[in-house]
Amino acid sequence: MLLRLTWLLLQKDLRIALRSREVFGFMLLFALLCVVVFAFGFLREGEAAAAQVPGALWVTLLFSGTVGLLRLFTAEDEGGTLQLAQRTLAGPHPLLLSKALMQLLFSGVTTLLILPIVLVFFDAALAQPGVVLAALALGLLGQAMLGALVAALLVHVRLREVLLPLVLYPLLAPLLIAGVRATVLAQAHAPAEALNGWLGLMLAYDALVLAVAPWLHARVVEV
Amino acid sequence: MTRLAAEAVGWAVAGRFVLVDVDLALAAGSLTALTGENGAGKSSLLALLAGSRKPARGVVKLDDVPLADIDAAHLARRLARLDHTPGLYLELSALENLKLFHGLLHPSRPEPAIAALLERVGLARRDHDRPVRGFSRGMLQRTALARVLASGADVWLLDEPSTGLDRAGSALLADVLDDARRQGAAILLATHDPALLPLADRQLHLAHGHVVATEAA
Amino acid sequence: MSTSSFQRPLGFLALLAVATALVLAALYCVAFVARPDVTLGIVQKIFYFHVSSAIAMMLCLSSGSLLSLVDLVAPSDRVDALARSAIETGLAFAVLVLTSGPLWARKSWGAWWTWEPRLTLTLLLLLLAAAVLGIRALAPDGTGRKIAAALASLAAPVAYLIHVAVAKWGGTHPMVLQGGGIQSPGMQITFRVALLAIALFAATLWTLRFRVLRLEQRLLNLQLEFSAQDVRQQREGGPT
Repeated sequence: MLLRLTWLLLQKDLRIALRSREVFGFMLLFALLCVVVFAFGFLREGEAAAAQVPGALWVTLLFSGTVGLLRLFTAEDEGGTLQLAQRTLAGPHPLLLSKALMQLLFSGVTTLLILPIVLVFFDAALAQPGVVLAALALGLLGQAMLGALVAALLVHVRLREVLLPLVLYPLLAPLLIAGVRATVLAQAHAPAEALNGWLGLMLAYDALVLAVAPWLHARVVEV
Repeated sequence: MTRLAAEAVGWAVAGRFVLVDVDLALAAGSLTALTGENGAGKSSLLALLAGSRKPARGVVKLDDVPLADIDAAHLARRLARLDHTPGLYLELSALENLKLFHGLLHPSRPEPAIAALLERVGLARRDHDRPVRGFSRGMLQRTALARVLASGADVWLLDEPSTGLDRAGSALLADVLDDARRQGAAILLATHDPALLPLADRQLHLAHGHVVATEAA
Repeated sequence: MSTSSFQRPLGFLALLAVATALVLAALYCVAFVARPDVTLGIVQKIFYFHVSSAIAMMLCLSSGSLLSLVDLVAPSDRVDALARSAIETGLAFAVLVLTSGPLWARKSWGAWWTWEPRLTLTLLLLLLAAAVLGIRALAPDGTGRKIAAALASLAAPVAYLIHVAVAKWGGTHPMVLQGGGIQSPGMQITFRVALLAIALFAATLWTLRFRVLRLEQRLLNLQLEFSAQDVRQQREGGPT
């Protein structure tokens, strides 16, 4: 039932996204802009640009992943559908999961498009593509779930646009640190043992967030 | 038989009580009109009755069970609400909206004849498949009414349902309400529309934070 | 709520008195009992308050997180006030840690700031605590409490992971307590007195905020009760 209702809500969001297109397009443009700004800020004559890749990549994804986050839930307010979507046979879980999946889809596609651009702009190549992609997948998963939770909690709070990153970024710190470190090590051809620790940390983080977020969400919305 | 009842319900906003000791009972197969000045607390009362807000005092019961003990999905199937927002996804068509809500509320029940429902509220076939964002206020209101009809709920809480409706729309609304009442629905109508008031079995007036005048229509 | 605890604040006054005495004693010890560190000089004396404040901060914030979880599971005004005052006190100590830390770091590591695990965690916790308290204030009527409680309960396990992450990243914090960096008996006594003093100081602040919040809750309830009576009176006086 949970999966069926989640799929129903996800289908609805996909259909709306395909029709309005706005959010995803801007998210992508914003990500591109982040990369450019990074190049302005950190590239210097005579220094290897490739060293900046991990930082530029992860921070770009962190920032662009915040752009459409609140919109996922404020969109439900527009036609007054939030409560209708919360009161389902599987509780409010399908709504949160469908929003997290939407976010994961958006950020996943953004990553696949922005990664080659970063490599071209910073004149670099992936040393161990498998490891970097695995780290990115783990990072985006945790970010999507936690982001959806925080957006759901803040949807009616004043100044939510400001408060969202203020809460989200410190909570995402372990993922960001681990993601950047894993990418740095992967680029330096580090052995698997060095990488596993960081990937394991990301896995633990994702497990925690996936387990706890639905419960906290249901506890707070209680409709 | 009483479907929905408020017992000594109180509601406070920013440290001040707006509603105090509100008692109200909605019987099956009855239509109750609720009037009251702007700011008297009609919308708040409807939100409390719908369980969207928790009363600061007192209790709201559906079939003698406090709302707090009823699971949200069951509440959504029994109780339909129409307020100043249509409760529709603006990018979806009327047909898609109603299909979606049916899927959410009754995943295992066969779909009702949704197109027929939309025609019942006066929405022409050519309007079934275009996004409701392009609808006028009246058309949105009609679609929202179809959502209430399609929900299969037997308690209806409607806040100014004739907003934006033309004369034909109002007549149609009256017709739909009358039908629902005959089929056993308990309906509460917050309205000042003189066209709808005569339809009510009884009229309640909200003032000084509670239901003051009760008169048989 | 018992009214007597507000009318007879003897326990609180006793706590205040003991805390004050201990803070003075700690200042005396720091000034006259503990000798200046051989290598670090007089700046090392910040250590006594810096480390104690950090311990007090961690205790306050972890209690705040745990109490938030309790309030989320079984809502109670008392637990809510305890949790909120704990987070506020923790925030105050986080500010103390982050002002005393760089002063010491400048002298001992030669830099005002290093991305060292405990310092980084403190900074992130400060930001989080401030955001949680802000959300509580800005959320619409009555909803802020639950939102803040949810985020605060999530913060504790995440804080642990932050610490693991930054520690793996590599740090240079002096392992004073584990490694036994303070050898002389004077230093050890001073540290113990300072730790106790700061702990009691934190407890005093926490209790004070808790009492204020409880009074606020009581005032709000009274205000509500009066407004209800007000509405009832209007009703009887007015035309029906």
